[in-house]
Amino acid sequence: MISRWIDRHEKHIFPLPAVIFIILMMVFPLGYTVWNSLTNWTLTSKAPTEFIGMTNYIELFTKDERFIQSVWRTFYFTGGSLIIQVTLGVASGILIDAKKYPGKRIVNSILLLPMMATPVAIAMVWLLILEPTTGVMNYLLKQVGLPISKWLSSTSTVIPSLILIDSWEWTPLITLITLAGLATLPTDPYESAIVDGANTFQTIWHITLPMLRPTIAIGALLRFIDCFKTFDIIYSTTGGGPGYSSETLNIYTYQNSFYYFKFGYASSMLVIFFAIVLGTVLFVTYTRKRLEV
Amino acid sequence: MAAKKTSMYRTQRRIFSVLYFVAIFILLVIFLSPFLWMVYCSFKTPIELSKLPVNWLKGLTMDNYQKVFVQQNFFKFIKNSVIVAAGSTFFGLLIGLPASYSIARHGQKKLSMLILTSRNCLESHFYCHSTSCSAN
Amino acid sequence: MKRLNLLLVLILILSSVLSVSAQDKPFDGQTIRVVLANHAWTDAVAPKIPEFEALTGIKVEWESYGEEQLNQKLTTEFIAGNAGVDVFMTRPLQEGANMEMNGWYYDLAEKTAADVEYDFEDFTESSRSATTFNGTITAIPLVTEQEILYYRKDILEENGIEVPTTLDELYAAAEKLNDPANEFYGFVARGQRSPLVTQLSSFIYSYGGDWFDRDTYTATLNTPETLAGIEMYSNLLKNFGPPGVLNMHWAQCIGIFNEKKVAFYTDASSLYPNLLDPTKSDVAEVTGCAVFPAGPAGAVMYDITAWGLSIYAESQNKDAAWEFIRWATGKENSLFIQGEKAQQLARTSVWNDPEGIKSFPADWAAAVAGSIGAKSYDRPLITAVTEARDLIGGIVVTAIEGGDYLKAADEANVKFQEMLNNEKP
Repeated sequence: MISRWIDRHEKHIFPLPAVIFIILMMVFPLGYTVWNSLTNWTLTSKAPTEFIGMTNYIELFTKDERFIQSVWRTFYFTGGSLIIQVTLGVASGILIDAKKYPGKRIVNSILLLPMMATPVAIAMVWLLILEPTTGVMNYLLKQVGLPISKWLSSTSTVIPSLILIDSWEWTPLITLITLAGLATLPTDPYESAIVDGANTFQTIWHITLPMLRPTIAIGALLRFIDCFKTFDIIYSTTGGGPGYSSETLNIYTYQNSFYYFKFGYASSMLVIFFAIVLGTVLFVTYTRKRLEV
Repeated sequence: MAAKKTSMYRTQRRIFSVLYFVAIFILLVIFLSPFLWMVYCSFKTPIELSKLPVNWLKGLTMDNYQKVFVQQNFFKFIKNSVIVAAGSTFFGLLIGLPASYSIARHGQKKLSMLILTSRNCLESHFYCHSTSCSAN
Repeated sequence: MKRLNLLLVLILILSSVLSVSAQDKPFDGQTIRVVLANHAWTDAVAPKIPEFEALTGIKVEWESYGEEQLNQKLTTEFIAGNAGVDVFMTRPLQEGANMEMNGWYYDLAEKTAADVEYDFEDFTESSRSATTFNGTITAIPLVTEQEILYYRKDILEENGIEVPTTLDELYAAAEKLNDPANEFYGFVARGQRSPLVTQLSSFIYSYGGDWFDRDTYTATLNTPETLAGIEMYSNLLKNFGPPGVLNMHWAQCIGIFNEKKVAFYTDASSLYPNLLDPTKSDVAEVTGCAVFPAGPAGAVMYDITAWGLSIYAESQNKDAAWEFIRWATGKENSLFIQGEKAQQLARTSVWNDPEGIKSFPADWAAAVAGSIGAKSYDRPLITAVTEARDLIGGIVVTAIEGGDYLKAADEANVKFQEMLNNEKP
């Protein structure tokens, strides 16, 4: 009896645990965050916590220069990382897929290693490598006669250096997605291309890449969201420094939450953060749908 | 004529082959060297660590590993990580498998979009405020 | 009859033995949770904890974290309200005001007054006042430190330079010795935004400046005296500092000093084991210590109590926790930690005991002796001190990068004044 009732309502009952989980674990904290953002809850203040409405938001956009700059930096970091990672990832995916040779599996596994290492460990190693005076990178560059750089220790080169580290860590993800996409491509267009006399580069440019476009789009969207939220490598290498030059939105929010203990103010930042990410995801999803149709 | 063209073709193929493996080798070096550097540095004393040019055989020691596993009881941390990873995978499957079955079988596109979106957007929120939630 | 007597005697002996051991170990079987910082003091005490456990029967579960993480972890647990913390290390100058305001410290006045053997009066006056907020004794002072000048004796000798006694002499000497082409730099100090503020303080004080006026709560970040101190610090680093200085905390500064690439380094006296200990440093033999150079207002360096040991107000095992503290900071252990492990503690009797100062290098001890009692704070004494440090550090970083630091100082002063207005008593 009960099993028949379950069968009839299967499509409502089976997703139920997941939906309940989302409501409890995700919607409730979000609601609590929005509520906090409307108060002035600060741990280091003797005044009691009061409801202040939109004051935090107004302050963020009108008085807080550090916030505006952190938003720009986040876009700068994300944009730079995306361009490099998608280009290099797709290129290396196509490259790896091109030939079969003994030991290919091992090579592929090695090339995917950076993705699987702990971000904090990666940050520590790169911090050592990129130290201007005592690090290996500048030493090797000098040996070969290339110009050296201050890498993570200068306000102008810190974000490109972070893009370097992030790309080193996550390009293999795009490579993996590309490889998976390449495996599903049909062989017919390739056969007709050979008949038509196309060389390798033309094949890649006119056949492979267009067919890979949806796969690349998914990879780019995933990486956009992750890059935007990047915290571990930035916090572990520079903590937002030198000065404030690598302080992205996530880092600034962390400073406000766990260093300044301004929980109300940090909550308003998080709401804006969430709005940006959600907006981008929705935008990409609906434009993709429209493009496909 | 035909023979000359074929041998040219073969040489060209061989050059491309070599270039291909050089490219793969460069990729390997780029992605592997920080790991190798990390492993090498783990066997060096702090003093020798930042000396340049690198003296490959000087300052090698097992002290760092001894410190981590004996003095700081790294096994406890490993155990904690395994518990968290295994536990969350288990619960993830427990909750997610029925939902994914239902989505696949009944084509519940809206539900799948809801789950994907919420996972992507709300991750950082939850992390940052799970602590303040337990307060107050 | 005889057997009964024997049995009675046995029972008597057994019970007396048991009761004696129970008296010896009144807390036998209790467990306390001790949260410490990654500090040389912890390194010195940790190996001795099994002794304490054997002595008292108390089981000690201890953990240690970096200083920032320690504060965040403790604050998060305390806010949640069910922290199982009993004993913890704390920085009176950094989180002391905030934690005291939230009532997380257990007032040790009762325990220290009742415990004559412990001799709380033995701790120096300045250290005791550092850990006393609004009459509450929030912590037992653990370690003290002053800002001193470390220098390369051999380099100075080679170039015929005297040890600088004024900041202008320091600048001239650093300029003379600076040789970036050969990767040798005249001066290094912390360049990270927040950590540099405490080391900047002595520079500011020696020009007659300060963070704010304690009587009127007026911000003084852009007064000529304060700016002069900021200028000296940033010019030294901008002109004679290594390229990576903006990312340097003391660990990196020491790293590059040990690489024999720097002539002068100003930082806390408590760091000297990393520089003068032959097992940790390549330059141990050639590093000298001197009193902080004088500015126009004199040699006014900080002399602070950096860490204290406290009991959590909501601890369930306050008595056992006090047992741990009185053992860890008692006269015997203090003598060991200062004498053998060369930590700067706060007990007068240990400083007066030749056993207590035997491990200190001679010129280091002289430098420290010359730095006692100058300024008892190295950062603004407000509750929102982290935010203030970021503000002030931002000015210095702008200056080191060659930007418009005067404008930055004015803007920071305005924001700092806002923070002071919130905290005015």
